[in-house]
Amino acid sequence: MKIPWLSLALAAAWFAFPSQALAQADAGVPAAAPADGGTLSPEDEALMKEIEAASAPAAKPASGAAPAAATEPPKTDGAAAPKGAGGPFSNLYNPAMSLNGLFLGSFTTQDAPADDQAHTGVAIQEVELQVLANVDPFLSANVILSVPGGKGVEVEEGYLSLTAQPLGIAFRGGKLKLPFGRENPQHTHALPFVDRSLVGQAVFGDEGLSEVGVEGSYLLPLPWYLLLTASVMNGDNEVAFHSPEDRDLAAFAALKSVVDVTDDATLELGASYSVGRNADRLTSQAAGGHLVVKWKPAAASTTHSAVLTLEGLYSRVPKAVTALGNETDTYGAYAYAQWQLERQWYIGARVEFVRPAAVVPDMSRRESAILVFAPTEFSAVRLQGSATQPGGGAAPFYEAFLQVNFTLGAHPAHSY
Amino acid sequence: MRLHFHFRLLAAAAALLGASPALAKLYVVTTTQDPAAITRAIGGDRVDVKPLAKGFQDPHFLDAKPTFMVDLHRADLFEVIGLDLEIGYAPSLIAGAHNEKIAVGAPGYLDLSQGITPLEVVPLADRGQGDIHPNGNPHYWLDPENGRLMARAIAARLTQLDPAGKQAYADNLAAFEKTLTAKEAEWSVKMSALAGQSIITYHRSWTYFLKRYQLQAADFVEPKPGIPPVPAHTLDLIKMVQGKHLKLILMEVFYDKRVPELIAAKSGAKLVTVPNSVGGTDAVKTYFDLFDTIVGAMSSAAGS
Repeated sequence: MKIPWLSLALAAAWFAFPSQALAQADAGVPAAAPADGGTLSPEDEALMKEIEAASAPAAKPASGAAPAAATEPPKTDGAAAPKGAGGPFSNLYNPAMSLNGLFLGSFTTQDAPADDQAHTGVAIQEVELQVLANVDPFLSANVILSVPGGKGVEVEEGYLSLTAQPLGIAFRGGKLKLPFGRENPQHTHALPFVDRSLVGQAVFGDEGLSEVGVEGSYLLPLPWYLLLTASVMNGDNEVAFHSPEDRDLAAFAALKSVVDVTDDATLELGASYSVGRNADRLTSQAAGGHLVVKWKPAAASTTHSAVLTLEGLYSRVPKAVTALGNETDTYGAYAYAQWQLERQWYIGARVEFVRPAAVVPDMSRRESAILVFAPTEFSAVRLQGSATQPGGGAAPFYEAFLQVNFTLGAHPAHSY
Repeated sequence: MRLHFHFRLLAAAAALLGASPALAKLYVVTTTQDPAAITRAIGGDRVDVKPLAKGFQDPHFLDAKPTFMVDLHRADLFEVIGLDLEIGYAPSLIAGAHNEKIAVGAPGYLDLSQGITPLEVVPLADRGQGDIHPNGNPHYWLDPENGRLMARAIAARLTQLDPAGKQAYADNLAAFEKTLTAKEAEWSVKMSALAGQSIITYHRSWTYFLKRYQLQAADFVEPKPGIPPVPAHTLDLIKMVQGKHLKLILMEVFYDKRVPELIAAKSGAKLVTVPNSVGGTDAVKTYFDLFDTIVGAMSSAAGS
């Protein structure tokens, strides 16, 4: 019931705007249709008729007609032609592919950690395969498959993006890690620490808010960066939504603004909101805000930088039957700072708290510190220590992690 | 007073709506300073130009800042060096700019490497060899003849986007090429004293420059492209510079000087630190200034 709605929306968008994509793909040829979507002038209409006539399926060419001019071969630098060209099978159209691997050694002082907590030992934290390419002149595709814990393949993201941007709106649809705040859209290998924040896990679960849906984003025409993003999604997230009724879709909206504080520093502010129905078909809501200050001096951009991030999340997931002391609200926040000491060395620290909705809820706190050695942008070794004070009067525990992070292939740049 | 206010309101509205096409300048965004300098020379007062990188910044490592996307959102033309120099940020910037005019393949996207003959093409890319560029070394603007080709490509694209400026662009291109030809003769004379020499460079970014002036790179301060100096390689370099009596170490202004200074001090070679882009130092404001500075510094070091 849900998928057809989303598929219909995608299909409608695709069929509504192919001409703009074609105009773009046909570089150098001005689009015949007015950019504002208005009616054509009489001259243009006449021209369009000629074009349509010329574009109709060709009749058999008259004998003696001049052969088409040979296409000028592309300029080459003398390098060998790509292997595989011209044969029955070709690699030329293979998509850009990359693989991220995360190996994690963990130590915890907990005798019996929960399933979703760190266990002492060495493990594959995650393997992620990303494949992306233009599908045709109208669409591009980005598929990210992950193998968390080295077991079982999941579609972490898989979406199509429209090449055309009607009215300046960029559309994508499929399974998306929604840009809810700062941390949620980040993939595991791109997180600043080896684990997600406590509040991120409490509000949206271990996988974050990753939903099947359709998203539109619009960059407002202002002197500074202000991006408005909105989406309609299935509402499958088991913590925040997960209604048993298929037609219960969820919605998401976010605003993100970035300004240059100086030539070397930026300030990012963001606000996010989502609403849907939960397992009891009651309205669930989540909201968040974040602030990021980044400093990277242009004269030493490879050797010195600093990042300060603050993010807070809040959710209300009401239940049909509320036990005494059973809260509906979860909230928390984290703050971290990262400092680049040298070209390949970084240090960071994070403090956070979460107050989850639960029977007899109580605050949990955690402090973490990290040391990163990144020989290149394609590999890193990270050493992290954490001290956690769980809620409910439980004893504190300590964890240590050693993570090796590597990237193979043509991995796209991470968002700023 | 009231009429004056209304006039100002109308003027502001006209400005917001783009005003008269006759007054509208092309807004050109470039990733680096050198295409920006050439575009200013060719476009004159018909263009506004915004380079993203500073001239004293390593152009490999820009961030895809959203504030850059604001510039690209209203750009008529986006010029890139290409050959994967901007692979770490240009695709993200284009995707985030929400501007179909500058999408790859659109008339508002100009990859300047398409007009030059790249050197050091590596058919089989392997990151084990460091930060190499499989389609060729992207530092081609450091050959002034490639600057000529860039200028021609820029003039052609500006003419395509702004046909009314065809004559102005042609005149400016002719003036640019005339000056370049005269300057090249001057630079060739100064560099002739170094012809045939082998030198050390920090990064593999001087390939085109060295070829133009008949010098060779004996080795690099970086053990592999993009990999910071390591002690064992630095020791080998010092011995090689001593053994072969190499005279010059050439490096850009944005790299860490400590290791090259050590090599120079231990080997007796001279360290020449120069900008490799317009804006790399305050004095380098044009494409011609760039070569005046580099050639001047190298010929001075060779002659002293």
